[in-house]
Amino acid sequence: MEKRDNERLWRSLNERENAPQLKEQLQREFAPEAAPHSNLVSRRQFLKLMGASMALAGLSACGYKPQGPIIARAKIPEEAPGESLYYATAVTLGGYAKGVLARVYEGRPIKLEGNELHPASLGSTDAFTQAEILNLYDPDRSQSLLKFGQIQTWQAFTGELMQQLTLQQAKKGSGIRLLTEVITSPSLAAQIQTFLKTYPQAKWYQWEAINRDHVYEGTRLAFGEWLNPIYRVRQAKVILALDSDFLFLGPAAVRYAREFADGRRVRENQHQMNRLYVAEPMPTVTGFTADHRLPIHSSRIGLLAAAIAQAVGAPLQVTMQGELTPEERRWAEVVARDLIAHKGESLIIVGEAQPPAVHAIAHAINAALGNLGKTVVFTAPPEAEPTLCTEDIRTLAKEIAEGQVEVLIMLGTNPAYDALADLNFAELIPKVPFSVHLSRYTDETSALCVWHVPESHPFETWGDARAFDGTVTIQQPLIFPLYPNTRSALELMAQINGQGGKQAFDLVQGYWKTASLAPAAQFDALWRQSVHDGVIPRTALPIKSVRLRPNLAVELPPVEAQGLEIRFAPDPTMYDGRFANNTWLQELPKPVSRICWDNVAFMSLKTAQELGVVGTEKVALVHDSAPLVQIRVNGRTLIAAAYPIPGHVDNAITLHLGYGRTRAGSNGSGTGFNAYTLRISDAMWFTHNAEVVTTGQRYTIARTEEHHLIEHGELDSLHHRPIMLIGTLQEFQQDPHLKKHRHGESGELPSMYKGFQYDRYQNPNNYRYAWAMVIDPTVCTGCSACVTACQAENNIPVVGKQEVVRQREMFWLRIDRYFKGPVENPRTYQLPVPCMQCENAPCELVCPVAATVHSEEGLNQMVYNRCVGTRYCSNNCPYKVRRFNYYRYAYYKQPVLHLLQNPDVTVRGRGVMEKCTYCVQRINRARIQAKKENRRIRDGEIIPACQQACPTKAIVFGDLNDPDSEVSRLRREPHLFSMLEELNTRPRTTYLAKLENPNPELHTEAHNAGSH
Amino acid sequence: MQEAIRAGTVQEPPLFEGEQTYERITAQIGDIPFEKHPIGWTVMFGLGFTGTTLLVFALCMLLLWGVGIWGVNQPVGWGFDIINFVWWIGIGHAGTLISAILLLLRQGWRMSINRFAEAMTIFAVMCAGLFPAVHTGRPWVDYWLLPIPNWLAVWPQFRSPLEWDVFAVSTYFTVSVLFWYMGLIPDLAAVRDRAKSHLAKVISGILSWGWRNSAVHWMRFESAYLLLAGLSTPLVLSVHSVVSLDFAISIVPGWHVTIFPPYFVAGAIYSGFAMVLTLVIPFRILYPKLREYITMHHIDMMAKVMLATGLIVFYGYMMEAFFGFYSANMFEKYMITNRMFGPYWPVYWALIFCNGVVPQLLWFRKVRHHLWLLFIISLIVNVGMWLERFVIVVVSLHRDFTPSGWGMYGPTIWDVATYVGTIGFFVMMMFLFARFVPMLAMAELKDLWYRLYGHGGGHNGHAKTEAPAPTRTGGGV
Amino acid sequence: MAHAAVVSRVYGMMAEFDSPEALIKAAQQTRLEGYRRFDCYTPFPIHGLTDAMGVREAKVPWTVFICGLIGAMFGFGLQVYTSTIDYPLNVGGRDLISWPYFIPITFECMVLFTAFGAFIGMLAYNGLPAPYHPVFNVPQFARSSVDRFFLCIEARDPKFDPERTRAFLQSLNPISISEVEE
Repeated sequence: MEKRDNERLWRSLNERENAPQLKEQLQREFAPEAAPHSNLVSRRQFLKLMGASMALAGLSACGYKPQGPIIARAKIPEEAPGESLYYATAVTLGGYAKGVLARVYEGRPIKLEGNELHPASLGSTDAFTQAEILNLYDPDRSQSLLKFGQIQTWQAFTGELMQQLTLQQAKKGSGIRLLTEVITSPSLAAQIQTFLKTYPQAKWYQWEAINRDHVYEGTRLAFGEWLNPIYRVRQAKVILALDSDFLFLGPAAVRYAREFADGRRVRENQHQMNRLYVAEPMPTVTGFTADHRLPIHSSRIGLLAAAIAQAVGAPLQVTMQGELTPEERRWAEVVARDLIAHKGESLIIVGEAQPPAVHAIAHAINAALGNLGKTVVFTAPPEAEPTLCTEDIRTLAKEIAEGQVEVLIMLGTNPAYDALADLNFAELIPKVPFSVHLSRYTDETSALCVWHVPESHPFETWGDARAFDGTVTIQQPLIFPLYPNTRSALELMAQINGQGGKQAFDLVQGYWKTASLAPAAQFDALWRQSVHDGVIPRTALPIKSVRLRPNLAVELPPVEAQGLEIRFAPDPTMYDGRFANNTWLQELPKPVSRICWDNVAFMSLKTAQELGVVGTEKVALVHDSAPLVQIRVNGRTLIAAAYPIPGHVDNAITLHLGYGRTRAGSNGSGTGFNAYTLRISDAMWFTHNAEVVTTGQRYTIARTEEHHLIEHGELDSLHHRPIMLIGTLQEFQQDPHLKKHRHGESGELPSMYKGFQYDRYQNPNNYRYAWAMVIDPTVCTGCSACVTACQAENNIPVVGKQEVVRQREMFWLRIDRYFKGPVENPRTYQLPVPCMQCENAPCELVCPVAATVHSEEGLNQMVYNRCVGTRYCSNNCPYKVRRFNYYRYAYYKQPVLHLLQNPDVTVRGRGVMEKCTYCVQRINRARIQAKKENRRIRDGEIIPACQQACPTKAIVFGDLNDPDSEVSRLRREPHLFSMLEELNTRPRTTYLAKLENPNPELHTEAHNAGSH
Repeated sequence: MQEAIRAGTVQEPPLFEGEQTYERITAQIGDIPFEKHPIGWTVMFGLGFTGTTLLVFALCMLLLWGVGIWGVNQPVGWGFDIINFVWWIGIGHAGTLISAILLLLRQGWRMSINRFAEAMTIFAVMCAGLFPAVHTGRPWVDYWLLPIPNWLAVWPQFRSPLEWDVFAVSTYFTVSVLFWYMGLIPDLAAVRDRAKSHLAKVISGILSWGWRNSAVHWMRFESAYLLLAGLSTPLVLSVHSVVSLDFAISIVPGWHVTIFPPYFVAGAIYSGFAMVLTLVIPFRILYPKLREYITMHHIDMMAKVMLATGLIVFYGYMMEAFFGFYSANMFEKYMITNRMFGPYWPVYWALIFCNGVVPQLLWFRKVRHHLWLLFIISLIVNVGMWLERFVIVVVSLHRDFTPSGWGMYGPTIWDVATYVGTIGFFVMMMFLFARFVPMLAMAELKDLWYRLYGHGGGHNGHAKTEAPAPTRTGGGV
Repeated sequence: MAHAAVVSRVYGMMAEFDSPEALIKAAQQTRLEGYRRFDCYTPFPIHGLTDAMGVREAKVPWTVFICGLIGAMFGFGLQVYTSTIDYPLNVGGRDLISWPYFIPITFECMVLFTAFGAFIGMLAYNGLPAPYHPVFNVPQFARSSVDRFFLCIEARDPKFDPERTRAFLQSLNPISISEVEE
């Protein structure tokens, strides 16, 4: 073992020597002026060097099998060659668990699916979860202990640490501070408590840049205690979201999205549809999904809430300054009427950015509407040690500044980057004599600490975590730690508590043994079941019955009427910045803006023109470059690219957090702009009186979809094209076929060919399938989980910012976004676009080498090894769903990335066309299984990656030749619609009409415009 | 007309300048390969050679990195590559037209330019063929487009216009070479008979297959030549029709147009004649003696053909616009609006100017006889025809059916390098041809002279009356 | 055998003329005289000359026609065979034999084959390439590709007799008469 350590040490040093020149090559790679091939050069060399070191450092040494008895979902014997096993575990974001089933192929996890038994997943996932698997294999992960950047051994570290702790023992640890992320893990919390018992004077702080302080404070105002609101979205007929992106962000977003969708699926015999009102400054996934969206400053949301509270007669006094505009007032009244009309089945949700007072008002409204206990229930906070992160970080900063802190142990957080700017944490950390930082990357904080300890990935070790409702998941390891020196927070704490010898498995199981879940006799059975299922039964926190405090009175923070408002928001793909080095999430087009690899300063077109950052010329935004502006607020400045987006409230700027990192890793460093530099503790979420100065420079922005629509003063990118069928619920009830909105010839067109017959039986005893997909844009929120799922399943390469700018992104599945109506507040329509698998495929006809042909089951097949790369098929594809390998994109020298790849899917080489296959590898898996059991493939047995990930179940795949399959039933729906029907391509992928449920009282022009 | 001329009733503008004898014709043309070449030749050849090296370099980079070094993207999968392909192949057509169609139409004035034009055809088709060959993602498997058994056991997909291209272009090239070479055989024999150096004798001797001017051989030669001409005529029409089908077969708005075949063919001839003029005018300066055979009358005729075809092409543009608006098809309508007023509007209007407006000058005899003006016009027309292909290929693709898939296209340095490179290659080949091969068809010229003036000697001008009736077409009259 | 030696030594008797008309007349005379094995040599094709010589044939056109037929059948056959019998594929839902799509290639193949037919046919019937031929032994024959017109009566002709043939040629008043060495 010792010998091995030495070897590794050397090889790692070797790697370190390469590091600087790698960095420098990296810069060249991302320099905008770099010629495309020259940036490939640097990438190649980079990969070579990294790859070599990687091969030696980690993998060659060890097998993959993790330690501890892990339990697979399937009955088949483990270690079955060529077979995948599914293990239940969980990934955490902001401390909260999302249950997943990890597909492990011959010992290596390659894909994450949702765990249907887990309350936060229900079998679906979000984009973050899908991308987590890439985090595991990230070549930039930290692999060795560093002291001041020099590699050290564990012995050296533990030695010094213990020495420091013994010094502290004298003063009961009054100099020790523990800074962690928000922790829900009971076993880890237990370890920390043990630690705090040994050092009673030591203090434990938690910090999340995206925290729920205001939610808890809100409940304290309203109910007198910290409570964790849980929404029963399914029961709600009318939903009002105030500055809340509850369908996309937050610990329960996936579940809420599912419940929301369930209340919204309109079928021939099911006309029930909930109605969603959203008031927010910057369009979000939730806002795009809303039936009515009101652009309003975050600071004025309170006024709106108060107005509604008054209208519904909520029992509270609100003292406030400021006035609503007439339109806002009218909006509030209409919404209030609608809410009153749905007492007990309505719901008000307020975002975590809103001050506690607004949360309190919302609770009061919910109470007045009798929603408490019906559409919204409360539990105790699921955190192991509920706290206010903002208070914690402030106190810690104060204490460090006052020199009280001698030992600072940080578990996984990155305050040097994401702590509030006014605390200057980056300058504070070096003041601490002995600081330890446990993290997966040598990030901004590690660089400032005395010791950096590499953290292992949750998939490499045992652990546990609670979901939003408290349900506990045992995280079982899926693979042996890739790098021998990494530890989990649990293991580190255990070591500090002198249980260094114990395996993570014993720590976790040991904790639960003592937790007296069940009599010792049944414990093993319970344990096995829990690990197998991915949830420990009956661990959800009990629902608390709550009562609104009598004569509740709240005061809204004053509203500056004038002055540019700055709103901080978590980035849709980077979250708080922790995913910065995850190329899947970097390249994933942001759900709302379709920008990737960057964050920008969002504002309305009007504001942009007023600030003079955008000319008034018609095609303002066709270009791929945006003007750089300097934003000054609260005496701090930030240079960012100004970017107008339709539907943003005027006179406000939205900045997404999580970019501008300096030590994120080879991919994340140097992308975007660091909005944290403007974020201070007095104005964590929004602030005012910002100034914007144009710099005259421009910044290149990578987008997968243009705003060319802005050429037309009115947004109407559909150009009356038969791309979506759009109608309102009312119209659907009158005419389920929505005839008045259809146009162009539909149905069969005369042809000189007989054409191919996809009948059920070639010969009677040989059944033939006809694969098809139906997508329901009515419930699609555009959250993009499907896109990342597709990328993970199909080994889709990432091409980098430069190539995206050149419109060469490789996504097989994209989400189209169309605007309609006034640029100030347009209606937005989104629909996922995979390959249409046309029966009369235009692409096939023009391929000179028969590299794309049709299977008799109706699949439009791409034969990679036959493709010459004329690109004619792509030119002739009216849906533009084909993707071409202009360079050798899928070229990973790092062996660690090879572990990631799905063995069932070919990795495409240079010069080859590719596209969606309906996950043909999954079809064939099912086919083999069915053949083995000598039966037909069952309906729902084949689930493509996109369908599996989709939180709202908007995608359905199946066999058309089976009249009882769900897809067949959907194909019989009256409001079925195929894209560009009049081209007679006869797509196998069809859509249901996008239905909206507008309130007649607010029925706007946009909705009418919505119909063609 | 010809009878009238021979009857001496009509004086046709001279197809020859000055006194000619069979001897003189042979000497003037046949001796060029043995003379010292003018300095201008060295300069132009040097330029061409430089361009060729640039081309080679650009192609190396392409093979090394992939088509990614070009500006192509999704949705614009084709860029300079296909634009240049169509442009070059179009230029090639003039040669075949002159040698074949004008032969069938018994146009005497073709004699002095056909050899030249045919050479141009061959080199232009070489440049053209290069692009589809290297524009693929994996050029090293291009041979899969040929119907030869391969390890995948799959055959080409014969419904694809690209496959038709393979056959059309290769056939076109082969036939052009045969036609050209066949016409060369007697002249090479003449060169052989005059050659001073032994080497020249041997080479020309081998290349002329031992041709000995036998009357019987001439008879077979002529029927074969005539048949080739008869075949080349539908061939040349079919080739550019097939090229146009590359677009017309697709469903892309702006490509899926029924008038494409005729309108492409006209465009091809148009650009072809422009290129012939672009070459002939400098060559007349470089080799002054050519002026005796390529007279102002020839140039005037070519200018007229340009005018005629130019008008057809312009009609095509108007039809496209008309269809766009008349079809009441939202995609077509948007396509034409986008061409005229979209992001690429300058290209469209430049095209209209180059191909629609400028050629109108050719209505005037003065312009047709003003060499420099004509030279500039022919250059403008070449540019215009390139722009036409840009509009068709790029502007149609960059915004088609699904707005979410829309994008923009811009060439990279490598696109430009490859294009310039092919031009260099073309120039180099043309000047090599001028240097080593009889530029004009001597036998046919002598024949023409005989037709017109009926004897090998002396007094130019008055036609001989009792010349045998012209029933034979091999010579062209 | 001496006679034979003579024949082997002399290829024929060649007369040189300075104008096509003269040559045509000479050819007619020669034919009337009963000579059959003779040929004319001219810098460019002269109409009526072969008629005067009484030569008629249409081998080349027929060859070309046959080649055309073969080419067309090959083109169409190739496409039908590959896309139906050898490797049938469902391409864009089109029929296996979608004949309108097969027309262009059929046509191109036809043209290609005919072109070769014409070129190779011409050479073959002319007996080219001919590395050597006696007529070139006559010094002034070099001008046959410039501005002189020759008529050569071959020794193979049964009526050939050095003296009488020379006399006859003399009567056509040529510029010169020369004996062609074998």
